[in-house]
Amino acid sequence: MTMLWENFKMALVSLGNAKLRSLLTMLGIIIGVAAVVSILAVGQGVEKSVQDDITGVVNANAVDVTSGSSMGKSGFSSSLGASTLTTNDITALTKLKHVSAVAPISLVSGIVANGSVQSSGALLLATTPDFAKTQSINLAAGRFLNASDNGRDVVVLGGQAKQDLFGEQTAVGHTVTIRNIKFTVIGALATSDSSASSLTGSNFDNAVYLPFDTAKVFSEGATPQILRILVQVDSSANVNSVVSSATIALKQTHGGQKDFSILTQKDILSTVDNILNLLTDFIVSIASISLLVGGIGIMNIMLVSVTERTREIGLRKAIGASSFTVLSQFLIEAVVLSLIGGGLGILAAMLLATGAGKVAKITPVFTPGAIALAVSVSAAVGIIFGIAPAIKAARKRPIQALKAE
Amino acid sequence: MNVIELKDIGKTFTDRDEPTKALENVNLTIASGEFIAIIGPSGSGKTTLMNLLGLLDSPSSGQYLLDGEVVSSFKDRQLAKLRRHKIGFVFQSFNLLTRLSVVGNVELPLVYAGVGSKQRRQRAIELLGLVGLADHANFRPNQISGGQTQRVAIARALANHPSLILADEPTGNLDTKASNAIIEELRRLNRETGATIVVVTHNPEIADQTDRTVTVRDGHIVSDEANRHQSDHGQANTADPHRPARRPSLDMTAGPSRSAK
Repeated sequence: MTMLWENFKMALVSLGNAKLRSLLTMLGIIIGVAAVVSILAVGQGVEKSVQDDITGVVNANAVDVTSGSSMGKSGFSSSLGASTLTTNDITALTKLKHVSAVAPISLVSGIVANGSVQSSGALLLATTPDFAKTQSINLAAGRFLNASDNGRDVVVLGGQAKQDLFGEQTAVGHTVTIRNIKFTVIGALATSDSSASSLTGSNFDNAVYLPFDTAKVFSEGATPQILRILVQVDSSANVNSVVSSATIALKQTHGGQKDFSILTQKDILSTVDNILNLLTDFIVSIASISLLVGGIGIMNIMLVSVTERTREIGLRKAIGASSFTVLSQFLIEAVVLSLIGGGLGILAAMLLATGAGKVAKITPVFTPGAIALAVSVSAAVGIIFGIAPAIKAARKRPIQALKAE
Repeated sequence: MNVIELKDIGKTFTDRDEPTKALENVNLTIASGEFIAIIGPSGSGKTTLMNLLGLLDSPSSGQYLLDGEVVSSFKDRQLAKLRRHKIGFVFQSFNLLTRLSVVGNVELPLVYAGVGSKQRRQRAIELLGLVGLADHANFRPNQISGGQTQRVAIARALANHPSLILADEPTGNLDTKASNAIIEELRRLNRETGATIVVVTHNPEIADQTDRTVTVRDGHIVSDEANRHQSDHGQANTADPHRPARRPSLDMTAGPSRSAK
């Protein structure tokens, strides 16, 4: 045990005597570990923010009904084109047990204008007052749509849309124009700062809300195409039962065909998760190549080092070092080399991931597991690629080694 | 008491084109506290003899008793342990590790003997004091002279209180003045500490400064006599008239001495 400690100290002296060489040798490990750890941290960060989004900011009790079978194996072509969702579906869903709110969403094409100021990026959504129960609505001024608004020419502006059209000025009470029709602004929402909610497809910051029936004006009197139906379940424990009862109910209204999809927030999370995991695996496997190359670099340098230090090995053996001691000396040197590389890689990853997180507005999460993985992989690389040079050193015979130049 | 007893030692190298007998029927006894020289020309087998004495190699035949223990059949690991505790080496080319300080080099055998770092440092400083270099403890090997370097190596050889100090051409890389100082140092240590010292050399002048000269030629011990007086060099009648007076560098480049034919 003490010999191991002595070997460790000797390794530090050896490596410290060739700092530049040691650093260059570690480079492969540093890059590999930095890549793996930072990717894992960013991945974890994204996953966590999505999770927060779904369990907190949005809500876990929401169920999304969309047109077409987008989660099917045969692709998503059934979800293209005119929607299969109808007002019958809304009625059917409203009747289900444990459903506390049902809000359809229809998209309306058009440009919202306040005089000459236009908000071409605004998303025109026709929905019902229940929408406020399915999403966390944060009012900055006025009120959201209510039942009495149906058919009236009123709008509620999303945070970003309000900023675009009115800036810092009051919007409530003023009018905006959509396709030559004047609408009175009855409410404005606060700007949402959650960037991650866009990942779940429910960032309505840029939306302009108008009553569902009012939108008929833009579809020649017919009920507008229903893009999505947001369903709010009374408690998260009932989400699964609502999904199955909704599936049965909607199959009936759709003549037995399942040309719709019912997604829970968990489904959305797991989709995001799957994509993230796939990406993470891909990048980690590429980074592993760097670890492999780093390991080979360590082996190469250790072999050179063993040859260079043949006399030293001879001397050490002559004054009493056993072959095993020499083996452990060089093996520990390789492990220390790659562990320092791993440590520097972790530091680099922290800088890298924090920087990337700032740009992408994600807080990277460094789990102890990822750090432990990096450390153990570095140690393993040191052992795997250090063993051959160490054996070479241990096998040197003192007489020959002492004669070496 | 005898530190070394060699009985009918033979060494044949079989890892060549044809087996070579480097040593044959060597009998040698060295008592504790002796200061002795093994002398012989290049190729005589003296280096092979030194390697056997230093447990860096095993004999092909015969028996080697070190401190009364038969060690000729020992395996690698046991030999390493014996080298650690019973043998101190002094080399022609000093062999200090340049990465370590002077005191670090002296500590090295103590590291392998498992001595704790505090005791180690204390003992190493003590040893450096013995060779007059206590004030150079933190120097680097490349900051001190050749003579001083060899004295550091001697201090290192003494570290584990070995039964035997083997000095292989200890003055080979030194000028006359430094050479004399080193031999004087070895003689003094032999007298003061009672260490058994074997100097392997090709140089009769060095050999004459010891108490006893063993001459090796063609794998045999051809003479083994006490030196009349260590300061009487050149006149000692044990001197072999055929002894070549080669320069050390020639001796080193002439190939391993065990290639005796």
